[in-house]
Amino acid sequence: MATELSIETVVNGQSVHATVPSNRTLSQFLRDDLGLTGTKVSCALELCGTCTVLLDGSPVSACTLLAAEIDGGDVLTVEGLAGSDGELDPLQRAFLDHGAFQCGFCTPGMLLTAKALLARDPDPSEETIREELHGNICRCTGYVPIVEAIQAAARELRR
Amino acid sequence: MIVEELQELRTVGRHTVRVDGRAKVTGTACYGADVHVPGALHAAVVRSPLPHARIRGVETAAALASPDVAAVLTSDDLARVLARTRFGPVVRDTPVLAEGVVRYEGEPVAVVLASSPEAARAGAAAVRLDLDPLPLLASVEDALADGAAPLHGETEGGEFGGWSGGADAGRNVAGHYHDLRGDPDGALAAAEHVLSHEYRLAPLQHYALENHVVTAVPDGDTLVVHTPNQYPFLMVRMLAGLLGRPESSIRVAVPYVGGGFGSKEYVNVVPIAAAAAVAVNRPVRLELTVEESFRSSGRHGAIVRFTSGVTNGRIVARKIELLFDTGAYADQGPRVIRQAGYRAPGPYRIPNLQVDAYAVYTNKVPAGAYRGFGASQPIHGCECHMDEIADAIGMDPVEFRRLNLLELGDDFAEGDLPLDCDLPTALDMAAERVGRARGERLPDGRLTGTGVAVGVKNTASGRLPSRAIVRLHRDGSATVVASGVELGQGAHTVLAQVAAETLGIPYERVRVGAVDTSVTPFDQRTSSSRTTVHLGLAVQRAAEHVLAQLRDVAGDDVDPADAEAVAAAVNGPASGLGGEIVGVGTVDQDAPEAPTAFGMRAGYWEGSVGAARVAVDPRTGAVEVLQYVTVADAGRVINPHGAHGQEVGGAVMAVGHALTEALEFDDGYLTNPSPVDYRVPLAGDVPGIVESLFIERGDGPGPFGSKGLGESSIITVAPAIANAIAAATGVRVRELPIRPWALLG
Repeated sequence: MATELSIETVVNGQSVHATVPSNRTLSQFLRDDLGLTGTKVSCALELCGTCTVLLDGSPVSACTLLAAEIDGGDVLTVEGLAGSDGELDPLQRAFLDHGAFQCGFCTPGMLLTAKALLARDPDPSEETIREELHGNICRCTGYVPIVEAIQAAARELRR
Repeated sequence: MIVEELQELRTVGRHTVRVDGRAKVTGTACYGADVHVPGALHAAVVRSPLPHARIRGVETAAALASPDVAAVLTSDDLARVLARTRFGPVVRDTPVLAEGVVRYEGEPVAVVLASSPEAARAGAAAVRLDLDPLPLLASVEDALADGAAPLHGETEGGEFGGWSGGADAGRNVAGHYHDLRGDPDGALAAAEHVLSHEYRLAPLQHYALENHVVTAVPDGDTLVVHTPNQYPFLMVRMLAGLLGRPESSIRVAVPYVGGGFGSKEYVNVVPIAAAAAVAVNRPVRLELTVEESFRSSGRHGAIVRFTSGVTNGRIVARKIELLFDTGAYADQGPRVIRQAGYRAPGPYRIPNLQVDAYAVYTNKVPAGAYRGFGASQPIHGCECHMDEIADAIGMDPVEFRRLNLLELGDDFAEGDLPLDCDLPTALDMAAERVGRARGERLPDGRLTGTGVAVGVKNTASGRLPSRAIVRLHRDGSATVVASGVELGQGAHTVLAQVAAETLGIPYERVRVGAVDTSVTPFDQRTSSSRTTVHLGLAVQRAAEHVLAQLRDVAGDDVDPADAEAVAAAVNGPASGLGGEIVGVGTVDQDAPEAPTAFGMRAGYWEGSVGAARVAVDPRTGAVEVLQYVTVADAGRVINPHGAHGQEVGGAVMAVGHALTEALEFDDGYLTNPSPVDYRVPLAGDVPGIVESLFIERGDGPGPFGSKGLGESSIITVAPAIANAIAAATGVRVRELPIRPWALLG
């Protein structure tokens, strides 16, 4: 049996103290223990980017990262993007305005990957955006409106 | 872009934020995996490690030894709760769990129910299968060879009830479509040029990001099934038949769907979860891994053979043979090959024609519905063949097509709807955008070329039934109650726009309810690019029904957007409206038998026209698609983002089909069931320029003159790219995908 570990972390700005089995993945912890089902899982092989969340501002795959590894860290999921008043993040707004999703399954991971990119590079070239999205698969949109939305959000954030 | 003078509308044709938009960007949208039922047992499927074997025994003791395992069920256990144990849309050849024989690697043999997903998987790994290998049918050639052992005996007709024509189980043929027009042999003998070519297309995976997931919940005498599915009412019919219960006792609730592309039409694990839940009388949740989704369904690999006779640049005869590898069970294969055969000649004037299309059983994962539904494989062959003919007779490929192309109003086939899409105009638009290149060298040493392709798909055939309800509430807001599944294609948004436009109320006041077969009325299915047209019409009629009732009570001048007037009408003394206005709209099926080779009349024709410009590195064979242009005759675009999204998304998906995607089988074993080795397009693989252009003349059969769009671009992408590569390099590759090494001398 897996040992139980105590973790202290911040998820979407809220402190969380929890005891988790050592083999519990971050996606299980978020979805099943915290009820944050916005984080989706697809390949569970750390390849498709669907489960991307930010750990201390950097994109990580919640499907394979262990919950124990976020001890002391700060996690942002799609549920934490909008303000507490419901005001959408400029990226969320841009995804809506540019038709940057269809089925929506890759969208939480796309938004968080883009969030980390824009925090690091407020004016990324199209090529940089495409490189950054290399680890996030979208089967619906052909990526074109996603790139446009990220560019639009970057413009909005620079204003 | 061609837009005729169309009347300006308030909501239709304008950008609107999707009705599911906010939920999807904030993470609150509920998908199948997010359905949480307390106390549910978790299921894991025990799958065959061999592609063809006799089952001598299933040893469950080790799995049952775990205190976390509640049950291990085999076909014998399920037989106790099932009225029949086999299912299938066309023929009932698929056992819920294997009965005595396994016919593909990964076929479900048993199901383990446990208190957690991990315990269920551990239990499944502990089940020992005693299997005796049987001779393998690894390819259609193996299966059709003289003396090949039949994979199936006689089987009864399935849920579709209809066509299983030409099936010959003794020869491993699950379906055969045949069409003969005129005298092709005579015309070929007399033709100036006769050319024959064979093309091979690899089998493909849909690769929807969301894996299959089912939660089946016994609730008194009702079984509630939560699952992402494009065919909720066929699922009800299938489960009612399997369980021997009335359809009213099965409730299929469809959450948001994380991508379908055909994979979620006939999901073969739904009956497993449903039967297991009934067997143990507890909720059961079954969620597949990505590898298991690869072993659930796919697109038919195919060999397509074209022979054409051409005189003075005109096609005088064509003979076509299509061999589709349908895998171990028929699934929708017989329907797919019938469509493939009907569409195979291409949109050309061909006076003498013979088509034979076969769905062939092999020991592989069953192939079924895939976006394009049987059009993509023959159109790939047809359009490569057209370029090869043009080359051989010294004609420009666009000119050769123009000389033979069907025009608006021409008959595709006798008895069918005359062609209602403008292919010549679309071809000119696409060809002009990419220009002409044939082997020119770029400054970086790469070779460029351009290619075009044209296809047409009889779509929404038979005008299958749809019904919708629109409820106008007392405050002037409205709810659409309909069974159109939101797969991402934007169905709910389009239905909301149609309701808002017809009612004359702001779009923001319309909501679309979730699909639940116990609540939302019948719709044949969400497929075949039919939702905008058929369900859209039903919604439009339901909204008109609302307006008629409102005017009866409140007079012809009443404004439905005026909340006070609506409230007064629905609450007035003896208004008869009972607090809200409920409108019902219906679209009935056409006469099921139509005098066409296909058997049903098209609802409309979904044209597909594409043009590609590529660069090929002659040292490495690496192909870059520099530009892709797709043109659709949309009738009228209801939602611009949604329409471009379908066109561009379909085009990029098929760039994968053209260049990188293939299910690799080695003697019946699928060797690449993961995104590591099955390479779908990534953000960096997208052509530098992707353009989607529309022809809009308001002449479609759907609401406001619309047509459907979901499958138009995808059909012609691979042949346009293959033709562009051949133009660039002079090398004709007759296999898909086109690998770099195939282009190296």
